[in-house]
Amino acid sequence: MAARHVSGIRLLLVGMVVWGVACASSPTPREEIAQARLAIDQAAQDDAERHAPGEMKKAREKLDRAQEMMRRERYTAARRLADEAKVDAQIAEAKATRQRAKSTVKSMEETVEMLKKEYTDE
Amino acid sequence: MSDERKPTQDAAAKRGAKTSLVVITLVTIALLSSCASPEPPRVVPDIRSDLEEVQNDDRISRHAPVQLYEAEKAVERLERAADRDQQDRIDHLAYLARHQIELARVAAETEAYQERIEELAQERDEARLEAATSRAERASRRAEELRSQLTELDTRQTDRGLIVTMSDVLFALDEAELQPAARDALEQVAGLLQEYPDRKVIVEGHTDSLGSEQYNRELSRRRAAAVARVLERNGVSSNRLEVRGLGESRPIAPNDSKAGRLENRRVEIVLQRTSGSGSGSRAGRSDSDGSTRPEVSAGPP
Repeated sequence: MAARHVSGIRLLLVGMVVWGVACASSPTPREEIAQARLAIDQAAQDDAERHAPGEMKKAREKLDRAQEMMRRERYTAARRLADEAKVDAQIAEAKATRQRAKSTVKSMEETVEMLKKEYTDE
Repeated sequence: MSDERKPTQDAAAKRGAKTSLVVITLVTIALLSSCASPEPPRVVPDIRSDLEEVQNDDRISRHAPVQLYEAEKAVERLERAADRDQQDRIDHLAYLARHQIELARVAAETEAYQERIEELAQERDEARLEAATSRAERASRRAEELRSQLTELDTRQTDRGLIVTMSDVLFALDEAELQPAARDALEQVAGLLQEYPDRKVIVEGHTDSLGSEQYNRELSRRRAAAVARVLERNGVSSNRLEVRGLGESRPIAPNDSKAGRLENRRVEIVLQRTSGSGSGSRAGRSDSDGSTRPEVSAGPP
């Protein structure tokens, strides 16, 4: 009887773990916030402020709110905001990179054009 | 949380293990459903079809496979959550999924630009080579033109010796400065002269009849001196060189036409037939020898 009782408690614990995983709320989303900050910094280095100001603004605002939620111990909200800030920053960086590639294409096309002119017009 | 006390109480009541297991299971299910929401999420099918669009775009699967994979994962996560989670979590996952799809699109476009950059780099290198080649061709064509001009710098044998005539085009207008092409020609002339190191070389400048006689003499002398200087720089000893400014005194064509005047504006380099110090006074132009001699200037500095 005692052994069965112990296994019942064990099952309860397993149940609680399942509950914990299902709601995906390991206590503090420090890691998520750090990742969001990293993504924003990287995007800023890639000149995303200029090429995707809207996304950068959203990312920074969400990071601020995530930290605010952290302070208020509303960890689920903090995690979500941090995750969203991260993808906002990633989009901003991707757009900046795309813009740079596009400009490079343009200037290289001009160079080629110029060189071709040099040997076609005599 | 008050639910949790139930199994404990049940256990305390020492009921059968089977019963307690059932209760624990029920409690677990109850707890699980505590964070679920039956709200039907409308955005999910939209996002799924958005993802399918991206999946069917072979540029995206080729150019941004990693981002596409992330997008697929995000959409699947959203769909798993969709029928049981709360609306705010679904909204959050939908936000992430949409952004992952967008990321795949942007990344694919960037990659397409990168490919274009590589193509362009090759095109640019080819164009550079082509341009350099055409530049070289143009330069050699120009050199060819100059060479043909130089053949107009005609050489002829006379009683006085070999005469090389440099036409007016090798000088700037009213200037004694030689065109670069003339320098090249004179290098060759200098080479020729050095094959006869004991013969005297007379450099004679001539003009047309326009302008004052004195000006013409002066200009012709300066031009002859410029030619002599180049010859000297190319190894012809100054001891052998004599410079004369003959002005308009010895036309070889009538001065009443432009073509004639052009012919008259010239510098002649005379490689004298015989060695020795005297000038070739026995030449066909011997009649003017005496009269022009006083105008002959000294050799180059």
